[in-house]
Amino acid sequence: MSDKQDVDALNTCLELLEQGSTIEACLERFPEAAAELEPLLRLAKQTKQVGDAIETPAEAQRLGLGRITDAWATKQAKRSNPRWRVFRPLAKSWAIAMIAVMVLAFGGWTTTSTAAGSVPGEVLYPVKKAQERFRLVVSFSDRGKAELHAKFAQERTQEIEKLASRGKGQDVMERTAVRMENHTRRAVVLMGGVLPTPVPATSDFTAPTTPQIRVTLDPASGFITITENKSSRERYVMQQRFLRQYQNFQEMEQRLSRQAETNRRARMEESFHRSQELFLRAILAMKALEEAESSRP
Amino acid sequence: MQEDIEPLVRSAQEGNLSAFGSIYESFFPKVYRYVAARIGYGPEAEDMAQEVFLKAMNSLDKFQFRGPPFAAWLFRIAHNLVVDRVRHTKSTSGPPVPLDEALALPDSQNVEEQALQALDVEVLREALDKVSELQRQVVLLRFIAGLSLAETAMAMDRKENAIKALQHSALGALRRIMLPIVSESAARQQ
Repeated sequence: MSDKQDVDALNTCLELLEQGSTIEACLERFPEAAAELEPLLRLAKQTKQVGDAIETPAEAQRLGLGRITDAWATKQAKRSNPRWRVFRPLAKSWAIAMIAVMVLAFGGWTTTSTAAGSVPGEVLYPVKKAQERFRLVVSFSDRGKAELHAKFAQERTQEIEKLASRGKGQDVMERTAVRMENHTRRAVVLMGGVLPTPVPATSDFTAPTTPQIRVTLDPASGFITITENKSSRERYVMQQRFLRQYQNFQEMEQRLSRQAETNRRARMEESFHRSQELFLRAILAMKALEEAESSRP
Repeated sequence: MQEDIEPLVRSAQEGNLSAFGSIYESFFPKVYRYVAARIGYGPEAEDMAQEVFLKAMNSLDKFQFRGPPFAAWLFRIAHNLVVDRVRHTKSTSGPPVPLDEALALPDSQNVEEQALQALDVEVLREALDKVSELQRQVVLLRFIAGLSLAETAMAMDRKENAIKALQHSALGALRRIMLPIVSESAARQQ
C-alpha cells in the first residue's frame, strides 16, 4: 500500500472504531495493511481510553460556573452602564427612551398608563420598555437601579402570566423569561451581592440554609458592602418586593408544572428556577442583614 | 454536535447566561481532559479549563457561524492557553528533550502489549512531550478531547487530508517513543 493509502486506511478504521466497530473488523477490511495498522489502532484505542478515564473534577466544574456567572453579570452590568450609553446616541433604546420622554412631556399620560399594562408583542409594549429604560437612566444610585430591576423582574413575571392566559406563543414567553432572569441578576449584582453559584435547576429545589450572597453593613468583615445609607423603610420595601416576586415564582411554578413538557417549557422553567433561587438568596441575605443590624448594640 | 450547540451559542450571544451554562456543562469535561493530558492533573489544569470558558465568554460576540465550528473555536482558545503555559514553563525549566526518531523498535509482541497496558496519563504526557507540536495537537484533539476529523482540521486551521496524515505520523511517533519509556519505567520499578 502507498503512504496515502495507509493514511486513508487508518482514518477509515478510526472512524469505524468511533462508530463502535472492532479493530479486528477493520483489519479484515484492509488485510494488506493489517500488520502496520494493528499497533496504531491499538494505541489510538488505548489513548482514547486514557482520555476517557480522566475524571472531571466536579468541584472545579461547579466553581468554574460560579466564576462565569460573576463575570457574566459584571459584563452585563458594564453594558448597561449609562456612562457608556452616552456614547451610543443612535442606539435604539435611546431613541425609544426619547420618544417616551416626548410622549410624557406632551401630555401623553394616557398612552403611557395604557402601555404599563401591555405585554410583549403589543403595539404599546415598546413604550413600556422605553419608560423602564428611562427610569433606569435617571436613577443614579446602584440601590435605586437594583430596586427598579427587581420591580421589572416582577413585571416580566406578570407579563408571562398574561401571555400564558392569552395563549400566546412559547417564543415570546421564553424571551420574556430570559429578560426576567437578567433583571433579577442585575438587581442582585447592583445590591452589592456576589452572585451565588447556580445550582442546576431541579424540581425539588430547596432554599439554602445559609445566605450565600455576601451583603453586610460592616466593611471590616471582608464582605462586600452596600455602601449607601439606607433606612429600614427602604430595605423593607425591597424585601417586600422580593417576597412578592417569590410568591409569583411559586404560582408560576405550579402553573408550569401543569403544562405539557416541551424543550422550550423546560428551558423556561430553568430560567424561572434560577431567578427563583437568586431571589431566595437575596431574601435570605436581606434577612441576615436585618438580624445583623438588630443584634448590633 | 454543531447542530445541537448552535441554538445555545446563538442564545448565549443574545445574553442568555443559562445557554452559556449549558455550553459550559457540555464542554467542560472535554476541555479539562485536553488540558490535563497536556499539563497534568491538579489545580492548575482546573483553573486553566475554567479560564478557557471565561475567555470564550468574553469573545463570544466575535464567534461567527460562518467560521470554524464552535468546538473548534473553543479548542483554539484552549490550545493557545496551554501553549502559553508550556512555553512559560519551558523557558524557566531548561531546553526540551529532543525527539529521538532513531529509537529502535523492540520486536517483541510482549513489549508492545506491555506498553499499551502501562499507558496512563503520565506516560502519555511524557511521550507527547517528545513529538512535534502538530502531532501532539492532533492526538489531544482527536483522541483525548474526542473531536471529529473535520472539527480537528478547523481547530488546527489545516485541511482534513493534512490531519489524516498527521494522525498517522503522530501515532507512529508515539509508538516509537512509548515503548522505551515503558521499558525504562519497568526497569526503575525493579
